[in-house]
Amino acid sequence: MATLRVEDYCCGYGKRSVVAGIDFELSSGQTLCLLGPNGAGKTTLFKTMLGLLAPLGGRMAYDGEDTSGWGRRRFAQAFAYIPQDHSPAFPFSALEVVLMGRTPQMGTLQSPTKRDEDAAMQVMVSLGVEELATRDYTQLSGGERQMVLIARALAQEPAFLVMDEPTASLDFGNQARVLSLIRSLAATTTASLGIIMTTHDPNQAFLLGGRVACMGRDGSFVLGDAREIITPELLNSLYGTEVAFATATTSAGTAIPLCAPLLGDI
Amino acid sequence: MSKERASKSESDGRSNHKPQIAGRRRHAAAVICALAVLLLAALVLSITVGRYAVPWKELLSFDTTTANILLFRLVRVAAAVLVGASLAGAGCAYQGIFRNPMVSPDLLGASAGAGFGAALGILFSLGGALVEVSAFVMGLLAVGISYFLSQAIGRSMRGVLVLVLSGMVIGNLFQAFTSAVKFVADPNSQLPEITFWLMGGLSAVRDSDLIWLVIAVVIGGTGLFVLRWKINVMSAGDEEALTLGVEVGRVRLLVVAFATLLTSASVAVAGMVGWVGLIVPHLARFLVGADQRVLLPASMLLGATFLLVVDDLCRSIYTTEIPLSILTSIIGAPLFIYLIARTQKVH
Repeated sequence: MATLRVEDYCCGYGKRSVVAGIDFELSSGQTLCLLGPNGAGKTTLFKTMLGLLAPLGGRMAYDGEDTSGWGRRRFAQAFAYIPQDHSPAFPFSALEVVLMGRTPQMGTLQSPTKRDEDAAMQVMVSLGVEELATRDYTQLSGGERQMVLIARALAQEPAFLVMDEPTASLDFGNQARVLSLIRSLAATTTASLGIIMTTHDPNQAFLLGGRVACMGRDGSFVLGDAREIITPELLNSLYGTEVAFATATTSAGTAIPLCAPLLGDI
Repeated sequence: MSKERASKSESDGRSNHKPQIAGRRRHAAAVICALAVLLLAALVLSITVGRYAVPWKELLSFDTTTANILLFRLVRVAAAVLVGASLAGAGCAYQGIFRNPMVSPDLLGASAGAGFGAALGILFSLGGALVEVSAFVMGLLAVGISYFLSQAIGRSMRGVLVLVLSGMVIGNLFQAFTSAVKFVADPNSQLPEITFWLMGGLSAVRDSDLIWLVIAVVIGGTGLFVLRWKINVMSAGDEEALTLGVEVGRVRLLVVAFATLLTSASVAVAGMVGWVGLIVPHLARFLVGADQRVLLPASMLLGATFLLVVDDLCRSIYTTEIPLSILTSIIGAPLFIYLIARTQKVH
C-alpha cells in the first residue's frame, strides 16, 4: 500500500512553465484518468512525475518521502511507465522486452538471472500472453505490443503505473480488454496498483469509475469523481465542442453515462 | 490476448512455452560454440597459408626457418583476431546505444582521429611505436572532443542526436587535418607511407604491439561485457531506459569510453579497417537475435574470424600484400547488401 502526494506542482521545460498549481493524491488501488486537449501539459506532468524533468515548483512525496533526491533505479522501483506504441530498432523477442522491466530489480552491473527470467515469464502467464514470449516484438500487432509493454511494467514490480494513452492505437475490442485489465490491476487485493493514465475518451473515465483530473489549455485543473465532474459544460470548455450525453445499462443492470461529441447541423 | 487464445493456452497446459524458451537458449549456446570452433579452424588455417606455404608436416619438424615463420605468423594471426574482435565488439555496442544498426565504431571520430595521429607521427618521423601511440592518443582525443562538445551544446537535450552530429563534425575536422598533413608531407617518402598506413594492414605488426592490444581488448571487452544488459535496455530509447532505472548518461559515457579504447587500439595497430564494425554485428544479429548478452560475444567471435580470413586473403592472393581495407570493403559491401535484402524479405 503506497500513497502518492503531488503538491502545488509546477512543470515545464527549462524556464517555461507548462502547467502549474497541480495538487492530487493517489493511493494503491485507485485509478486517476487525466483528461485534456492536446497541448494541455499531460505529457509534461508525466515526465515530471517520472523524474525525467525537474519540477519547476512544488513537490511530490511517495509515502511521505520527497522524491526529488531519487536516482533512476528508485524511480523505476516505484513507477512503471507505459509509453505509447513504438517500434524498437532491433528485433528483440517479447520475453526480452518484458525482461527489461526487471532491470530496476537488478544490481547496477548485473544481467538478468534465471530468477528474473522466471519472474518475467510469470507476468506474461498471468496476462495470458505467454505464447508471445519467443516472438519478435517488432512483428506483433498493436494490441499484442500493448500487452507486452504492460507485462514489462508489471515486471518492474512498481507501486504505480503511469500510462500514456494506453488505448490510443488499439481497435475497439482491444480497447475494452486493456481497460478491463487496468480495472482489475487496480482492484486486485494482494498487489493492487495505483494507476494514472491519460486518455482522449471521457467514456473511459466513466467505465473505470475512478477519479478524473481535467487539465485545460488555460491551466485549469479540476479534480473529482468522474460521474460528478464530467458534464457537457466541462467537456465543452475543455475541447471546444458540443457534447451529448446518454445512459447505457450494462448486462449486470448498472447504469453508466456515455458521451459523444456532436458535429452540429449542416 | 483474445479470449479463445487465453482459454486455449490453459487447456494446453501452462508449461507449454518452457521448451520453446529453453530451445532458444540452447540455440544461442550452440551458435556461440559453432562460432568458436569456426574461429579455431580459421586460426589453424591461417598459420599454414601465406606466400611461404608451410605444410603441417613441416610445421611439426621444428627447424629454424619454419619456427621463425611460425612465430611471425602467430603474431600476425593474433593481431588479426584481436583487431577483428575489437572492431566488431565496439560496433555491436555502438549500434545498441545509438539505436541504429547502420552505425560503425568510428561514428564519433575514433578512426579519423587515429588516422591524423598516425599521419602526424609519420610527418615528424617518430618511427613505428610512437606513430602508433600518436594514433591511439588522437583517436581517444577525437572522441573525447565529440563527447564533451555534445555535452556543452546540448545540456538540456542530452539525446544521442547532438552526440552523433558532434562526432560527424569532429571526424570531418580530423580528416581535414590529415589532408593538411599529407599536403605538407614529403611526396617521395612520407606521403606514400601515410597513404599506405591509412589503407590498413597487419604486415607491420610486431610482438610488442600485441601486449598493448591485449590490454585494450581485456579492459574494453570486459567493460562492454559487464554493461551488455544496460546496452539492451538503452536500445529502447533514452526516456524508456531512464524509466526502467538505467542511468543513461553514465552508461553511455562508459560504453563510448570502452568502445573507443577498442577502436583506437585497433586502428593504431592495423590502420583504418572499414566495414568490420558495421557488418559483423549485423551478421551476428542475424544468427542469434538482438540480445546483447549473446550478440556481443557472437559479434566478437565472428569479427575475429572475419578479419583472420580477410587477412589470409590479403597475404596470399597476390605476390605483394593487398591493404586490408581494400578487401574488407570488397567483401563487406556485397555482403551488407545481401543482409539488407535478407532482412527486407523477413519483414
